[in-house]
Amino acid sequence: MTQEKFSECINRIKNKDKSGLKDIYDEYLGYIYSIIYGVVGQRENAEDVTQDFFVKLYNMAETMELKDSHKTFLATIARNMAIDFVRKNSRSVAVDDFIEEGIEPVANDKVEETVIGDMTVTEALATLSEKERQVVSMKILSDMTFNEISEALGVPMGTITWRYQEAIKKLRRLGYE
Amino acid sequence: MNKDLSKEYKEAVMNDLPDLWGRIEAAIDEEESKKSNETPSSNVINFSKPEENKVNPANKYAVNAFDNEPVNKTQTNKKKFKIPAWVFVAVPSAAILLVVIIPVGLLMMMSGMGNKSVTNMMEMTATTTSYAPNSDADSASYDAAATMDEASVAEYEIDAYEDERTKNAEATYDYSAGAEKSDSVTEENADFTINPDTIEGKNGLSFMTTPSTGSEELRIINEKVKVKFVSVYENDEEIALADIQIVEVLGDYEYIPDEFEGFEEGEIITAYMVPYFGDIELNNQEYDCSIKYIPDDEIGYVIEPVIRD
Repeated sequence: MTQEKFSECINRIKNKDKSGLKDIYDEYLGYIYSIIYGVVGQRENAEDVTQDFFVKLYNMAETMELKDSHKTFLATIARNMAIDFVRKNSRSVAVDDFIEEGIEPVANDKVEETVIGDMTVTEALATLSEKERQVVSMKILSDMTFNEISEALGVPMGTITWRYQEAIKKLRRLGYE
Repeated sequence: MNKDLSKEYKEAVMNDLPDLWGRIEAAIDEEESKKSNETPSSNVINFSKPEENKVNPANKYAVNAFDNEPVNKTQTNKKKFKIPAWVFVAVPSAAILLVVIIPVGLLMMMSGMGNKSVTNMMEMTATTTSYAPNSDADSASYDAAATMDEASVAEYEIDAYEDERTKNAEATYDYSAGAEKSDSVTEENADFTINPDTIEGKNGLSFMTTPSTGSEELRIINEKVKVKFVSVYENDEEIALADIQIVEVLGDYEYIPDEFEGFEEGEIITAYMVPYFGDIELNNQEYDCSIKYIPDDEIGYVIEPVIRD
C-alpha cells in the first residue's frame, strides 16, 4: 500500500467510514499479526492484541499525523502493544517458566532419527524450549533486536543471545538456516 | 538441502491467519455507541449547580460557561477570561507594604531602631512579590499541559520510536553485564551486515567495546589461538556472535583463572566478536586471535584479532 493510499484510508476513517480501516486490515493483517504473534507467542492472545491494534488505529486516525513510513509506524505500534501485553502478563509467563523446569530437552539422537526433509518449520520449532522459541519468534517474526527483546522480557541480553544461539544450533541440525 | 527458517516460519504464520474483522467492527461499534451516549451530558451546563460545571483539563472538550458552547481545548482564548494568578499575590503584598510595613518602618526610623530592620522587611516583601511571575508561569504551563490531546499521541509515538531507534543504534554492549553504553555509535556508522560467506564491517564498527582488563572482577584469559570461523549469528547493530573452531593453541596468555582448563585443538566455542574484525571468510581462512574469558557471562568468551605491527 502506498503512502497516498494509506492517507486516503485514514481520511475515510476520519469520516467514520470503516471501509478505510477494512482496506488497511486487508493489506496489513498478516504483517501486524505476525509481529504481534512473534512477541506474544500464543494464538488467542495474538488475536486479542491484533483486534485491539485495529481498534486503536481507528480511534487514532482522527488526529494522526504521519512523519514516517506508515508501515514502520504500524509495526512500531503493534510491537509496543504486544510488548505491553507481555509485560502485563508477566506473572503467567513466570508460571510457564516454573513448569518448563521439569521438561526434558529433546534428545539429540531422537532429533537425528527424524528425516530432516520431512520436518516442517512448526515441528522444528517444537523441538525448542519455550524460552528459545520465544526469542526466535521475536527475532524472526517481530524483527526485534536483542536489545529490544532483552528489554521486553526483562532478561539480560547475554541470556537472550545465548538462547537464540542455542535455538539456531538446534534448528541448523534440522536443516534450517 | 538447507531450508530457510525465516521464510518458512513467516509463511506458516501467514497461512494460518485468523479472521478478525467481525470482532474489530463489533468493538468499534460498541465504543462509538458508548461515546454517543456520553457526549450529550458533557455539553449541558447546570447553572443552578456551578460546582458541577468545573472544567476538567484532562477531558477532550472543555465547556465555555460564558456562551454555553463546546470549546475545543486546543483553543487558547479561554485564558483571556482569567485574572492572572500573580495579581492575587501582588495586590495584597502591595497593600501590606503600603498600609503596614512602610508606616511601621517610618515609625521605627523615627524612634531610632535603625535602617537595617527596615531593609530586611523590605527584602521580605520583595521576596513575596517576586513569587508572582512564577505563579503566572506555572499557570501558563498548566494551561499548556491541559491543551494536550489525542492529536498529539500519534506524533509522540512516532517521536518515541525515533528516539528508540537512535538509542538502539547508539547502544554498545558491555560484555560483563549486558549493560548499555552510549558513547560511541551513530546510526550511520553502526551499519554491519552479514551475508552467508563474509562479514563486512564499516568504519571500524565502534558499536562494541573491548571488556576492561583492569577490573579484578573480570578475570581474563588472553590466550593466543589460531581459529577458523564456522558460523556467525547476529548483526543487530549491537553484537555479533560467532562459532569458532580452535585450530591451534599458541599458548601465549596473560592470565588464566584456576577453574579454566584451556582450549583443546578442534574444539568449537561460541564467542562475542569485537567489531574490528573486518571481512571474515567462513570455514576456510585461519586467523590468529586472542580469546578473553568472562566468568559471569553465559557466552563467556570474546574473540579479538591479533593486531600485528
